[in-house]
Amino acid sequence: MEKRLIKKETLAGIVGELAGKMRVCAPMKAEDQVLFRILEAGEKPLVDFANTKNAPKNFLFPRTETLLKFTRTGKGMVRAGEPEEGEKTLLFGVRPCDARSFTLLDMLFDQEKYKDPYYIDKRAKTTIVAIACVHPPYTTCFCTSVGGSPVDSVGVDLLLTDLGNEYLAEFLTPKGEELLAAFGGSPAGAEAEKAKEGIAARAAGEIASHIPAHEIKPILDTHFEDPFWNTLHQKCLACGTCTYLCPTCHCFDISDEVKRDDGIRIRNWDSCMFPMFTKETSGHNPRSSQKERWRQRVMHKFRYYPDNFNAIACVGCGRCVMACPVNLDIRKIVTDIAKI
Amino acid sequence: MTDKESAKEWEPKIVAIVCNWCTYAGADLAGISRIQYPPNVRIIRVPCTGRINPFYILRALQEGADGVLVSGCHPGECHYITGNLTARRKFAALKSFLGYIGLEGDRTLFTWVSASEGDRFAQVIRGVTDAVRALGPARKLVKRM
Amino acid sequence: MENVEKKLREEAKGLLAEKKVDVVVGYEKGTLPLTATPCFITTPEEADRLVWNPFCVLNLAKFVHDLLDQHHEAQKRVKPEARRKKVVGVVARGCTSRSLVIQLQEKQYGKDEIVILGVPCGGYLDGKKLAALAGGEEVREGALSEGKIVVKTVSGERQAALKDLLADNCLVCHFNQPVIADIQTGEVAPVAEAEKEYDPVTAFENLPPEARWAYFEKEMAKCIRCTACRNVCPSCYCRICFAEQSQPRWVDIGADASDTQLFQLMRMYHMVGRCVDCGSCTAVCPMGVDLRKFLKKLDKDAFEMFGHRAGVSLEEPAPLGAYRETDGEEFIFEPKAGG
Repeated sequence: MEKRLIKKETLAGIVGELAGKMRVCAPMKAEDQVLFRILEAGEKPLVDFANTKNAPKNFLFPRTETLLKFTRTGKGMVRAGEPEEGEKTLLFGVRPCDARSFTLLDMLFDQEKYKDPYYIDKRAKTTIVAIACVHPPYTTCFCTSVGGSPVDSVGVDLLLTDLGNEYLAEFLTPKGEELLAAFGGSPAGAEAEKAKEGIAARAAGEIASHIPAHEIKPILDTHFEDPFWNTLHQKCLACGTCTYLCPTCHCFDISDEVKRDDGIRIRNWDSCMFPMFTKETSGHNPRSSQKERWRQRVMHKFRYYPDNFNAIACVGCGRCVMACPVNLDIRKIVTDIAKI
Repeated sequence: MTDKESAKEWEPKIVAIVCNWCTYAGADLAGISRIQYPPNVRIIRVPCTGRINPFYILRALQEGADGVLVSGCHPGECHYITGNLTARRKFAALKSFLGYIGLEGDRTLFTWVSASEGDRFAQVIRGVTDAVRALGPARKLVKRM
Repeated sequence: MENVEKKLREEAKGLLAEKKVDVVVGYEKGTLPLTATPCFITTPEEADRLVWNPFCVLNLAKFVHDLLDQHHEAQKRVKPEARRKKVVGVVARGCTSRSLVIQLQEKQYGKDEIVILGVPCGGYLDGKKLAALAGGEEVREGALSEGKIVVKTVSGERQAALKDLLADNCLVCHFNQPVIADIQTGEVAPVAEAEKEYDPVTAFENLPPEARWAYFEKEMAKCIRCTACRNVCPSCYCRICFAEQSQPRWVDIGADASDTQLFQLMRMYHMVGRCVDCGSCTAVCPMGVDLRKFLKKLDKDAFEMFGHRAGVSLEEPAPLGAYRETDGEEFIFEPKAGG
């Protein structure tokens, strides 16, 4: 693994230059928010930001994605085209929690038994450049409670850690090493590594929120029916804010859209919070109220995912905590479950 | 509208949603009386203008209509007594709102034509076609696939 | 404010203890600084959780409707002789009470099924303005004292007068008191400059159409279709929204911008004379879509065209469900004679 030191002021320029050569998605200011978007050639990304409002999953698992095209002919419906091939993409400025989310999505979309070609194609063509959290950006961050850390390199191809005047760049994978030439810099010594270790320890200590995420699995296993679920959901609006901003939520719905003779089959994000999510054609809805939907959301993240993939489906980014319109705080929910 | 289509001589496509009792009969009368009017309208007959969901109008625009005309009985002549009076409020608010978001006013037009006004029907269609033609092809709210 | 809060808790306790209500819908302290969140109080002991302050944002009428609607549905599966009435107490400011009026007017439940705990309102804290005060940084701590908001962020302390951080709709609110209430918990002087209510709408109307369209397009492009705006709206209570109907399917969810534009247009259009400008939809939007810019126009039109103000009278029906023979006809197309 190659380690380099990159002068701080040059970083945005390097990425801006790359944007002319390949598709680069990076955090950018969008009015009063910071959002991931595709950079124009030469456009410099934000390097100094807390985290983006939206999760970067959109670039591997888009909110809406064409699966195939069809058209009406004299002989009936025929396939009229395949979706566009994914482009080689650089995903810059991902936080370690969000980078970890990709490994969680891999478990689902790239299993031995079921493979999702659309996701896998994009994933293979995407290089992830993460910027470590030297200081955790929010007090709502709880990555250390769910197996991550502010300088985590899981799921990262190139990890940048701010050492003060320069970034320590760790080219962790072959995909990351392809960026060596573009990023340049000077070789990093043991000193830089030591500095990083210090930062890692301090940053983890600065995480303000802690939840007993690993303790609730056995409780959830035995408390599918519990009075706790009766009141949890009461104020939930049944909107999709939490699930749409979540880096690990991955439920989708497939539908056809048609205009005159042409149609597309698309897959859109869906949300377990929506009443329509489980509604069947007959009109029956097995999850008939928000109670069942909330139980599903908690169970999916903290029980079913551990059962299936031995990992909690939450990376502790805190987006849902900050964005929920009614302040349904997953930190409090997990803490409350631990007390059952 | 694809480039291929726009290269051809463009003709406005107008959806006219009309009530069964007055305007549709008016259109019939125009036909029976052999009054000429432009062939740009596609007429959809509904029982009453009060039955028109404003979404019909938006959907027509989304599906590529260059203009939408709604026409019914004159106020006071509705065959369901007050259907067109509630419709009048609905459309007044809709047209104002669409104008507010920047949609061209002449994309959505509302009028009254009675069963005896065959010549007025033809006049309306001529007027509407000219108005929409002057705007050019619709670009706003149109679905692209 | 403290007095109102104290009175509110006492009244709620009384109502619950005397079993005059089954639940009180109010606000409690949130888990983030300077927030309050809806809560459901069912025992007198819990009533001390209730708060009333400028961090109480959402319009609670939405929850009243949902609770009663669910109850009515559940009662259908109960034998007639075993059916029972549920009474919901609700903490209501001006806009909330107007939404309750709309729901009553639209016969969603009876007046005997709700108890309105009226609270005076001086406006609520605007999330966007607070974020701007914090310079886009996270508000780590916050406090309100003597009309001043003080926030602590990672880079230091900042402060501003509360009145500079109030939501735009509160700044022009006519209704600092509930329009109907069973119990009043205090009075404050209006702070709002109600006469400026439609100024932003008029300013927008005066822009060239292309600029207005560009703004609409830009705002709609932010939307991620999470439906928080619709779900929080007390006037949006259809069991199945048009956006989820499949026969016919009115709007798709896909990639094309027109679908989102149509979804929002149509949802907003349903608000003609039914929008109380409570600002909940704008407040909950995770992407910061400026919905109020458009909704306020509908409010203005309802007022100017039909002389209607949403939710102020139990007698006057929503404007699109009514008509006058003298309604304006300026928009009617008149072809040129012989044209």
